[in-house]
Amino acid sequence: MNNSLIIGRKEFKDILHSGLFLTVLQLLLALTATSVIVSSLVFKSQVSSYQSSFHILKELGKQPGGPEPQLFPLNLLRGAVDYLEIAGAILGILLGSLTIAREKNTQTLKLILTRPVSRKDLLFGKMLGNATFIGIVLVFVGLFAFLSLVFVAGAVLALTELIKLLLVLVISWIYIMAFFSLAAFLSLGMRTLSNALILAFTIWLVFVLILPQIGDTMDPDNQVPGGFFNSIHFNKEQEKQVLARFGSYENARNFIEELSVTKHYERTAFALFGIKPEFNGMQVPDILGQKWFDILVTVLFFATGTFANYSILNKKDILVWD
Amino acid sequence: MKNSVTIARHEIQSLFRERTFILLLAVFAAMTLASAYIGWSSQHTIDQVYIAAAEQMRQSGKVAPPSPFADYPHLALLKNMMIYITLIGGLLAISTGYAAGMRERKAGVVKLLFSRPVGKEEFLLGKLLGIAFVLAAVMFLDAAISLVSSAALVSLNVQDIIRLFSFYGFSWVYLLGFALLGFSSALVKDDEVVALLIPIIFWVAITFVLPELASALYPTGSLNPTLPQTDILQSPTLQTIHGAVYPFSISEHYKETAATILNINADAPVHSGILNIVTTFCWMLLCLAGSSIAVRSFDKTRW
Repeated sequence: MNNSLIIGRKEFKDILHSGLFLTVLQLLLALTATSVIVSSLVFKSQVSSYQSSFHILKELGKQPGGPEPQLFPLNLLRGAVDYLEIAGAILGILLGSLTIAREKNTQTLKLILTRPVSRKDLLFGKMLGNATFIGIVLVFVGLFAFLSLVFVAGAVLALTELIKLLLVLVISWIYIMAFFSLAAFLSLGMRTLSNALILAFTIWLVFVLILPQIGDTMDPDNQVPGGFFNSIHFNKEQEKQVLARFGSYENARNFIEELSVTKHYERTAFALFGIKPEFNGMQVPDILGQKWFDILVTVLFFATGTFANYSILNKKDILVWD
Repeated sequence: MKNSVTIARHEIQSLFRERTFILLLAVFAAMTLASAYIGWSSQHTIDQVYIAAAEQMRQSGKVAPPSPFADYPHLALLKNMMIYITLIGGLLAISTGYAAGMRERKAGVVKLLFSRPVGKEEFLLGKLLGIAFVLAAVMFLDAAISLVSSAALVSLNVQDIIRLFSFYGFSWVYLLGFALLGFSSALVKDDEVVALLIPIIFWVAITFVLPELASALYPTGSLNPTLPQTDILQSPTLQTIHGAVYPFSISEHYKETAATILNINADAPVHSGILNIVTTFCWMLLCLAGSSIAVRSFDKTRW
């Protein structure tokens, strides 16, 4: 354990010295701020649009229709979740690749293993250093999101909302660590680092962007700007009645989406942030109870990656490249 | 010129021998093949959904509006390709340019190469020709796959075929910019990983961040070829941001032009079409200028 701590501390210092910390932190903070600012402006625009329609209808002597848009502060973090999905996974891949690249480029893996350091110590030390780094970056992102909500959107967060924000940060940490494990595994297993990195990015492309994209574009409601059912003035109940006739198509679409770990992460984060309206106001245990499968898949992805790294590191021929 | 052709030929042969390039190409070709089927399947289902919704409206005594999908052009089934070009194509182009810039460095032959009578201009021209040819071959392969897969699902006329090839030709211009960005970064950055990270950050910014700022699109919302309605026109602040950022939102200009070429966006005003095309070409030329500067500043005695 002591060895793991020493390796972890060294790993963390190396990341800080590489300049990656500041670049990544600035990038993620800028993306979080962008998403909160744009979402707040969109929300304000929806409120002012509602109010102007309300006055026009009142002047015409008609009864206004739907309720005024209500601000659920965590909804404004939807863009931030999208960025964590995309840029967070990139961060994980880069860290996973760099942690192995450092040993490969300096040819120090054999040297470390000649000391009384087990391969388990080495793996957990490297994971510890990177996990700490990712955790600190996420704490900064969380704090920045909180401050942006308070000062940009003028929102007041209740304790439950703070707990939800914290839980999203925890699940984001697991999600990013899963991509870290994937990239470390590929870098350990492949001879050329840049090939391993491009392969990791190809897998990232398929799981983070393409599979969710296919599922999203197959959604019948997404075929018309503003939504097909909205364009024919169908409410959610009528939409459900129609779509019930296309069960197998919807199942196929859902299956494609569920192949992506990103979609499971997104569903959990969206539920906690109440981006799907049915989760707004729901208690945390109820949300976790409904989303247990999505959480489990994300955790399993991370666990599989860790196990794969441990297995490959225990292979004798892994030292050939050193 | 002869040296440039030799460098270009070597570049083309080397790229087609690289396993990662072949892997990305295979993913791209597979998605091109799948794209027509996904487009056709969604369109077919949504037609059925419309019929079911219209029937339900008639049963409740309402008049069903005309189908919004009645006049969909044949090539609408390729609309997902616009997204795959920006996603997979962008990454493929970056890896192509990056590999071209790194090749001599990694092989340790930079000094050897420039000890021969080869000038930097010839080196640049050779690399550019190689990259441009490889991307053109990729686009041609995709065009052929799209043509065959679309023709198997719908009947295409001559105009459709011209539009299809024009779409891939225009996509080539867009992707060339990313390839040149990857090439420049590989030449000027010492660290291999940072050299790859920089063009990827540009790609994330162009594909996701600028559309969010310019059109209030959520990052994953940019992945849908049918763009959601946004509320920028209601907000003076968003309008101001839109005015400042939109001219630089290259991926939006690309997607709008691509939609017009595929006849999906037939109502687009002419002036915005010209702006879109000019912006995309400017993007490519800017990256070309960047490559030229990178080659000129490249220290050939260093590697």
